[in-house]
Amino acid sequence: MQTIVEDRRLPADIDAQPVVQAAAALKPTVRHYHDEIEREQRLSPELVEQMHAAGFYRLLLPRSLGGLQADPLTYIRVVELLAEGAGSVGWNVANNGVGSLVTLGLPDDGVQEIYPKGHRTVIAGTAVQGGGQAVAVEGGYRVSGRWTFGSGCHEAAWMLGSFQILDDGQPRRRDDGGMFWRGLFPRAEVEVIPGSWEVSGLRGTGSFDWTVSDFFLPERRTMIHAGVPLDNQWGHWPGITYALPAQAWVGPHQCAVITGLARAGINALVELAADKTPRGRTGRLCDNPQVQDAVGRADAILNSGRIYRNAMIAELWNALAEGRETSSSSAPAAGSPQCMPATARARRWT
Amino acid sequence: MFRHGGSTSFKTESRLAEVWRDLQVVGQAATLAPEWYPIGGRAFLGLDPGPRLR
Repeated sequence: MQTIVEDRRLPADIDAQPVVQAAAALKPTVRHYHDEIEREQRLSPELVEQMHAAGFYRLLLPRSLGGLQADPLTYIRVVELLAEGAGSVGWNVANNGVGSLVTLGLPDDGVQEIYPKGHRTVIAGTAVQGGGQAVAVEGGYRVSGRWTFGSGCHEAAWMLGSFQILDDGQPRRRDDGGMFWRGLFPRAEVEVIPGSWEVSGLRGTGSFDWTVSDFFLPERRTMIHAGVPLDNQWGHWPGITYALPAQAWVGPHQCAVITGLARAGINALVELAADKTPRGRTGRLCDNPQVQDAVGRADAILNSGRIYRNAMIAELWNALAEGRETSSSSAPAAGSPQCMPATARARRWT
Repeated sequence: MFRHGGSTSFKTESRLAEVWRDLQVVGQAATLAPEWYPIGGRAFLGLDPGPRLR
């Protein structure tokens, strides 16, 4: 089994990490399956099998649960490389990572149920508020709801959903002001709505709507839903990976899909430009100074965004490693979320 | 990149078209929205950044 030994320092060479090398090595396979993924609107089972073997679905789980306990830069790089191969693959691995962090906030018996010894757990669903309503019953809740964006529902074992609890028809409000709870539903017992993911891009994510109706959800698979969209509720697990604020994960995870796709776009033009002679022209595309300028600018913008994003995350990590404050008033915490739109700008050049 | 690919870019099967389609979808994610700039800016200015960064 691959393991990542978490140090208090981030790895000096992220690309040398075995799981990152596995992602790079899998890119041709991802490309091989791309047409099938898009057509079937799901990751092919053969590819999912290889992703399990590479450890991509347990990147962020603690070692005590069979995970790799990866640092965020390693996780982001894996997502980025997979997105270079196919955006949908990167997206689903990214979302599984955040989903698995969320599940670490469940009660202990819930965590053990989701991640039994030798598990091959994949988490799908959505981490944002709302979608379901529940009524408290002995030992848990009866939940009904419809959730959108169930990315990865076809390869998942568990679906993550958010709901409100109704007392006499009125939403329950906690002392902290929160009004939402989370629950984990067995994938085999939810209904995925056909035709609810008719989209122009990321078709392969299979981000279909899904529903449950009057479903008994035991207390052990529920937790409060803190934060907008979510706070770190997994900080009781040991290691800096789990002490980082949610902003080090949520946002960077989708940003990594953007930067992976942006790299794929630049590479696609570079490959095309070597051979293509546009109609009515005599020279190849690569001989056109405007194309040369665009490729050079795109590479600079993409990498400046990537470096900014990674530097903000590294600052957060290092602050924790050194016992410094990482509250929202600190520069790294503020810089971390705003690095997402900054890197996302790279897409405009692609 | 898309523009410089010329007519190749909009062919459904082209890699540039695939990347462009996927990018437009990912770019709609709320976590990547420009609204994060003023949230970060408020924190840098010593103001309450709001619930998303509190």
